[in-house]
Amino acid sequence: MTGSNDLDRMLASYLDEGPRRAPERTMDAAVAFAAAHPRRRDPLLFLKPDVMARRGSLFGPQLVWAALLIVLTLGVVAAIAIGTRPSQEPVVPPPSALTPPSPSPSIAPRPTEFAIELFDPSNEIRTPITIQDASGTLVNAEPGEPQDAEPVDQIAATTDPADPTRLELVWTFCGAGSDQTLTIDESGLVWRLARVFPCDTLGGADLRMTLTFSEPVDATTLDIELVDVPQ
Amino acid sequence: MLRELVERAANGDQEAFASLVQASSGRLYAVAYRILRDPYLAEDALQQTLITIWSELPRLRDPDRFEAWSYRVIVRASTAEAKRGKRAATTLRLLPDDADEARGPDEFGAVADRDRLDRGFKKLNADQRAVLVLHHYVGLTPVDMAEVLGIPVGTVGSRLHYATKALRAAIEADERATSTEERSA
Repeated sequence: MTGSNDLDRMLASYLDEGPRRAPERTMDAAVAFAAAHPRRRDPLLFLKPDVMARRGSLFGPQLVWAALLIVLTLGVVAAIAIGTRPSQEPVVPPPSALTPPSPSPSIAPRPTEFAIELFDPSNEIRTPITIQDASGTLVNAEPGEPQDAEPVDQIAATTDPADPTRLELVWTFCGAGSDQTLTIDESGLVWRLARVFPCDTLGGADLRMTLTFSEPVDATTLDIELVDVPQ
Repeated sequence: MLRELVERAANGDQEAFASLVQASSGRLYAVAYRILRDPYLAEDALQQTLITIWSELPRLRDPDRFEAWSYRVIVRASTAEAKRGKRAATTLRLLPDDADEARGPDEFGAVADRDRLDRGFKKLNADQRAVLVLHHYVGLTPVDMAEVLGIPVGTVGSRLHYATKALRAAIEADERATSTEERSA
C-alpha cells in the first residue's frame, strides 16, 4: 500500500463506507428548534456580512456603510470647525520660512535584482523566482529545502533569531511552469509575491527561500501578500 | 427547486426549512461521520449545523451557494466536535473466527490494509481529515474546496499534500509496528 494511486483508491473506498442517511431524531430536533425560534425580520441585516464572503473582501456592505458614516461624521465636524473659527488676518510667514530647503544629502537606494530557482523533489518541479528589491538592502537570496512543517496560510516570513539580517519566506505550492516575482518596495516594508494562477498542479510542499539583507529586518513589521494573477 | 427552498427558508418559512433539512441532512451527516468516525459526534455536528443554517440563512446573499455554505458549516461543526473530544472515538472490529479461514490470502491482506488505513486516518487531525473527505469522498475540486473552507486554493493544495503525507506516514509506522510485533511473537 505504498503507491500514490493505491493509497488514493483505498482511501476513496474506505471513505465510501458508512452511513448516508441522517438519524430522523436529529432532523426532527432541528425542525422543532426552528418552530420554537421563529425568525423575525432583522432590520440591520444589510449591515451584516455575507456568510460566504471571501476572506479579506474589502467592499462588503457593512464596510461601505461604515465608510459612509465616517465621511458623514468628518463632514459634520469640518462644517462645525469652519463655522466657529474666528476671522483672522492672513498670516505672512517670516522670510526665513520661505527659504527653499537645501537638497538632502541622503543617497538614493540602488535597486537590486536576484533570480533563483526552487526545486520540489516530491513533484520534480522547478520554480524560478525573480526578486526585485527597490530598497537596495537585499544582499543575497537562496532557495530553501522543502520541510515537514505546519503548512502556512498563503505566505509567511520569519526572521532568523540567530541572525536578524536573514529572513525565511514560506508560501504555498503552486505547481509548475510560471515564473514568480517578489517585489520589495523602496521602504523595504511592502512585499508582493506575484504568480500566475490557477496553477497546473496542486499538492506540494510549501516553497521556501532565505533572504539576507544589509541590515536587520523584523518580519512582524512587513506587509507581505501573495498575489495570484489570473492567467 | 433547492434555490426556492433556500429563499423561502431564509424568509422564515418553516415548512421550506423542514424540506431543506430532509434534502440536505443525509449528505451533511455522511460528511460529518467520515470526518469524525463516530456516529454520536457526527449527530451532534449535524444538529449544530442545522441550527446554524436556520439562524444564519438570511445572511447567505446568493442562494445558489447554499450547498457550498452548508458543507462549510458541517466541516466547522465537525472539527469543533473533534476538538472538544466529548467521547472517545474507539471502534472495535470483531471478525468471527471462521472468517479468517474463509478468506484467501489476498482478501485477508485487503482487510489488514483497510484496518491499517482506518487506524492511520484516525491519527490525522480533524482539519486534515476534512480535506481528505471533501476531496476523496465528496469529490470536490481544490477550487470548490477553497470556497467551502474559505481559504485560498493554494492553501487547499498544501493541506491536501500534508494530509496525504501524514496519512502515509501513519500507515507506514503501523506497518513497522505490526511487523516488529510479529517477529517478537
